[in-house]
Amino acid sequence: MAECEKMMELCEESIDRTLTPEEQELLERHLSVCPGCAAYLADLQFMTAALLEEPAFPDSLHASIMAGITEEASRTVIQTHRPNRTMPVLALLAAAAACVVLVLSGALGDRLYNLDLSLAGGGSSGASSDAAPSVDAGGSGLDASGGGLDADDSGFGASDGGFGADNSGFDASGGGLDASDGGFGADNSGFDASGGGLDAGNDFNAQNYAADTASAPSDGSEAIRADIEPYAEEGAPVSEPVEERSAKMGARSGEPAPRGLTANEAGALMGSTESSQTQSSAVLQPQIAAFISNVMEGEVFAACYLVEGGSDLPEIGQVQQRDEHFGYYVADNSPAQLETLLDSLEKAGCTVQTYEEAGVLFNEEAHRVIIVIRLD
Amino acid sequence: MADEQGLMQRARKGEVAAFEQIVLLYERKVYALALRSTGSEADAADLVQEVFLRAWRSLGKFRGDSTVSTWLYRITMNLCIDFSRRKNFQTTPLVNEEGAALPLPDTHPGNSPEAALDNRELSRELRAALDELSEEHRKIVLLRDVSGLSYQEIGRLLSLEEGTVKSRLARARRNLRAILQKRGNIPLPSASKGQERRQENG
Repeated sequence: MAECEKMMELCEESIDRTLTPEEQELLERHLSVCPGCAAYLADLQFMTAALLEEPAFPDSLHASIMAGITEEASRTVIQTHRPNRTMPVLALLAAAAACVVLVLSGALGDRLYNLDLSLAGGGSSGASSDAAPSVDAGGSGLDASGGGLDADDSGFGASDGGFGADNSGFDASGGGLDASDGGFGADNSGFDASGGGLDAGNDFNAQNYAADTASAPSDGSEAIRADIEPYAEEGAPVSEPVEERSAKMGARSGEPAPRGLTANEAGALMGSTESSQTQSSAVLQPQIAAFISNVMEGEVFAACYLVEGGSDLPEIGQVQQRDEHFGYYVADNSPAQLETLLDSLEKAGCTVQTYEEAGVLFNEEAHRVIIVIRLD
Repeated sequence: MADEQGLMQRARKGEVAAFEQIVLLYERKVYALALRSTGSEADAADLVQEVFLRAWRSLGKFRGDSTVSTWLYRITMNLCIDFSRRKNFQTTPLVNEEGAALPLPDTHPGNSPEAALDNRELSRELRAALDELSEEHRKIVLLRDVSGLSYQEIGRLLSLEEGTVKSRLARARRNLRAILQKRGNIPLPSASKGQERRQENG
């Protein structure tokens, strides 16, 4: 039997024509006395010949292939590094806003207490109380009891036109919430770009957003980072702890408060601040890009969502593929379905964000989106 | 192959005619792979169009260190697997990762092995048998026996050592044979009495 096992291997190699002449001779000698192995080789030859047989190629197929290519060639495909922003952002927006509640009421609760005080102080001394819906963040929105910033109170619900225009107002890598016009006159006042923090700045220009959400240090985020370790893998050097920063904010809040942006103004500005997301995503990009390019060569999607955190992932379908860090799902690019899906992720405590440097091609007309779940 | 690289360079610059040469070189092989994988001519035709469309779109990502064929087969394979999952074609694998046989499913004992099969029936039966293989085994059989890739090319494509390719391919073929024998719809040479003719083609 051991000999037959060896001979079966030689049969396989003879099919692949990798036998040496000596092995070929050895095999033939064995086959002449072993009907079992002879039958095996005959079956192998039959199977491989049948599989190799080239089917008739449909007459019109070449023309169809080329018609598709020609049509594609005449269109502009947006590359990953600067995708068109035509994503179903309203659904995402609602999910992300709600996520803030979860993020703030979780591990960050204690840390936020300090900030809450400073925000409250700042709000009373510097902000004009009627500047914008979200100005309430300074006083009532944040709550040391752990309730965090309620999505409804903050004016960040999906119905809020000012933020509905674009989702870049949300912290791109942590589901954080940028409260417009907190009245503190502080730029870069978010906790941490990569940590789902609360950004209470009132400055919506592109540079500040980029700086605020990138991995580059922003004021006073170290203490927060410690509590949000999953998001802080590339914790950039940070200059000041929260306490110091709070004092600073308090001081800043004594300065004349800039005019608050209206929701619409903010939305309009945010619509032009494309750099915010791509920069913040840089923190995670190498891993994700490597992961996706391994499994999705040449795929085209309308958007990529990155999902992080959460306790138990809801049943949102079969994971198409996974490695130790990520798993991905593919979903139809239908607003209703996406809303349901993102809603279920939000209920599980996940943060959801769009992710635009995923290494796949984006095209607004694609009928599918890719959802990357961070597993570690 | 140097010629192919030249075509690819021109295609990358947007020259559709150059890409068409690539299409002409590989469309039949890609179609065969898709047909064996899906079992449906219509689905295979759709897949082939999608393969070349994706290839066109990702020309910029093509690196000269892999051959055009392995690049195209990788795209084809990914699409076929995706298609198979979407269509729920995948059945319970007959082998686990180690290749140990799992219980075979019920087959069609009523069909006579002696029945002559035309090419289409043979093709359908092969596809059904392939479908019963585990995904790992199916991939390797398709790449070797349908596409004719070398062990080395398969190894590169699936990120496997050549030795692993060889041993996995052997297990996959044995499993495929076992499935075909069990199904009994194809008159394998071993099932007939003509085993003496075994070496005529060897």
